[in-house]
Amino acid sequence: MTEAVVDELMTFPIFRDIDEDRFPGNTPLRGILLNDTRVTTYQPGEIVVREGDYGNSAFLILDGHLRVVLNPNLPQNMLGRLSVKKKGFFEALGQLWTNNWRPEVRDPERYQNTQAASSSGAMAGVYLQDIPAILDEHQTAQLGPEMIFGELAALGRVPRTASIFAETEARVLEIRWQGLRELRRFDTTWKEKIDLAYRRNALHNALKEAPMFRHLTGEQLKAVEDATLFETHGAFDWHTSYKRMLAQGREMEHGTPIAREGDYPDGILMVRAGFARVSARIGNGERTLTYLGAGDVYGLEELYRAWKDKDDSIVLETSLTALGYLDILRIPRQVLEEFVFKEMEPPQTKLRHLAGNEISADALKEWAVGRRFINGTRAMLIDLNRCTRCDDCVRACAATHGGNPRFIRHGATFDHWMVANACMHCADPVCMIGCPTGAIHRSISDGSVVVNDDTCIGCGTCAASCPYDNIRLVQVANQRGEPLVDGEHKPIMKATKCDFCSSNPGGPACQRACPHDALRRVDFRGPDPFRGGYQ
Amino acid sequence: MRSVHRATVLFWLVAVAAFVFLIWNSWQTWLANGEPAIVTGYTLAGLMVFLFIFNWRKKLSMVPLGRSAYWTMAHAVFGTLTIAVFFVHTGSFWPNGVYEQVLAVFFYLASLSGILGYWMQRVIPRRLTENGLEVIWERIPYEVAEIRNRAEAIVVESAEKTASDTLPRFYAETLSWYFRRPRYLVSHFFGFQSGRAFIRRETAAISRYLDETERGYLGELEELAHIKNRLDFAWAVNGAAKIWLLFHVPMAAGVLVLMVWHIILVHVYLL
Ligand code: SF4
Ligand code: SF4
Repeated sequence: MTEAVVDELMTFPIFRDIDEDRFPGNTPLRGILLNDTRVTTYQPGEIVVREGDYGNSAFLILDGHLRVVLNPNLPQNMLGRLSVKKKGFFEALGQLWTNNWRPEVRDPERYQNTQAASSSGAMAGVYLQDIPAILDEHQTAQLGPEMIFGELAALGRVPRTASIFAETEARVLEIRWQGLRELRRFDTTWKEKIDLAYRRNALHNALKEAPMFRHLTGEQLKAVEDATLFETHGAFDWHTSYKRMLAQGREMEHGTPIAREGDYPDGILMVRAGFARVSARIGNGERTLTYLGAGDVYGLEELYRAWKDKDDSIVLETSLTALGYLDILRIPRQVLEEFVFKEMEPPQTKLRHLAGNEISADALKEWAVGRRFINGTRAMLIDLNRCTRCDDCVRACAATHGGNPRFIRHGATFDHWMVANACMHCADPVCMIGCPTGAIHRSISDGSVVVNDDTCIGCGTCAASCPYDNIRLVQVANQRGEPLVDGEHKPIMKATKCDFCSSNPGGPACQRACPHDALRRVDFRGPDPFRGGYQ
Repeated sequence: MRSVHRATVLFWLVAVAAFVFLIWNSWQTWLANGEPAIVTGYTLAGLMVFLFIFNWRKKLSMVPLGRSAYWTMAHAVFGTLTIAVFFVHTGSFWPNGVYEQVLAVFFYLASLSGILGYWMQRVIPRRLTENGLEVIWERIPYEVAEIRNRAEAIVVESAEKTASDTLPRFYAETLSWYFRRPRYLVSHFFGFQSGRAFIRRETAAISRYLDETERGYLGELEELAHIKNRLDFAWAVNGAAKIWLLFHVPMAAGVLVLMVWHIILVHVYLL
């Protein structure tokens, strides 16, 4: 971004009307525009955002028109996604002779349309063909100059809900989440715009789905909605500091504080996205009692007790910190007392009681939190006291993936547990942020994070983002083992990772193949991943 | 109880019931002046084929044929049953006839290596975990080479900084042998500490001839030697877990081939 473009942006009413004096000296408005935004020109038919993508930026249309696809959504293949088809028994068995002994062999025909990643990692756009047919078959709406979109996905770390493409040539300002957060913080108009969009699109559904609000009438729910505040904490790109700390041989610190033990509870906190750690003071440190994910609630027990016993001296018994990025709803005490507590059964969980466990019993949990494995919904956990290091799991993985294993039986260890370098299919898949073609995506069939080999341009954004080093970039070759090259004679690279055997019958081959019951794919958000049963 | 443990209990019940039935059936056949060896022989053949299929199942990991952990336990339980049925079938530890004796040798070797393998699979994981160094077995030679390079760099640096050749001489005479490739493998396998004793003995011997600076370098070399010692341990123990299969599977295949010929001979000449 150049000063000249910033000058031009400052002529748009949405920036011109901002009171620059409200911005602190170290975060001036012009600085935000200079560092956290960029202008892109889209050609007709070019996709701007894809439904299901994770993004870290919002968009403001400067001129031209875009179209948002409302209903039905665009088919997955149009968005460059895989529609995973499960193999039948004999098709799977066929891999016995179709697998190639050479590594990473591909059919060159598949890559006819592969576009090279430019040195900046950006690429030529992805276009929709036959726009009139799309307009005929899908309900769409036009977006025009000065409209903002994508702010919820950027701030709330949730997937984009619709696909948007350029209808005419359009200039669009892309604002990174950091800039968006500052604009919301220091300018009331931006705050109102974003909050309004949040209330309109996300808040109602989030509250309606929460069990404690199910009995409320429409009017009561509206009152709760009006009183609810939404907050974001921690760094959106926590994975960068996480990687830095690991490189320095340190463990991740326990995040940004949100509520402190001993504070007065002014409302409950409901997690919408990300993770939070609940801790209690012990000696000179903080002990992790549990961690909260989407839908979990903090502070309810204390507030309920205070209301029931009419005791205003009750304080929070635990502390809450954001682990990485956290998006929460703060629902004030008054509305809970008015609409919710009267109808509610007393809350059962007593988080504080967890502090009664033996100190050493929590060591594994502290490790999982410190290393952020709690992000994993299908992490590969190996019990080293059972694992004979035979590598049958690796061979099984190779046998199901064209002869190429998609994980390394190596990884972080603690006591006799290893979390191997296999994709954990994270609840917060940071690898998906910024993929220029949407090749890495969440499969709609089973929720696993998969890479579409045909649309991956090998730019490495996902591999650089994955905090756990679970993506490998490989050079692909033809049947004779000769490297495949693109139009510019550069070798074609592809991102590869565990796909949870989504196209193979019978679930993940690694787990099935372990002869010693040592390897499990576990959900770290489950009750006790170190003890739990098979998925 | 883990589901594999539950399955194992079930396999044992089936195995014991099958064995009791086999004994009863043989007894009845004998009473009826029949030939019980036919029933026990075919049971034995069936069991051996089942045991051998486990090896194929491993190669067919792309298709859902049940978890390998169940197969392992079934292999162990029915392997034990096979030994029992073998004695019932032959009626002795050492059969008559040269051909049958060769078959028995293969059978005993396959069985003993199976029992040894089972024991190793129970013991080795914990020993490797307690070694505290997780390393992929195939990578160990590279890791050793890397340690050797680091050690040599330390020796060169010490020579440059101290202008003394004591440490380089010690390296050339003693340590280079140790760092060249994995050492004391048998000792490691049986849990002895020959590697550690070697490091302690040799570093103590040279230490008295060094000054403070050289001792600092010796300390660094000693640290690398201890890492190498743990790599050697992993090489020996993990390697043993890998190579026993190279003995067990050919023995089992030998039994299978000899068994087929044995059945043909019995049908041609005795029935
Ligand atoms: S690639 Fe990395 S960040 Fe992405 S889902 Fe897998 S483990 Fe998580
Ligand atoms: S298959 Fe099981 S025992 Fe073998 S290396 Fe993998 S986890 Fe370990």
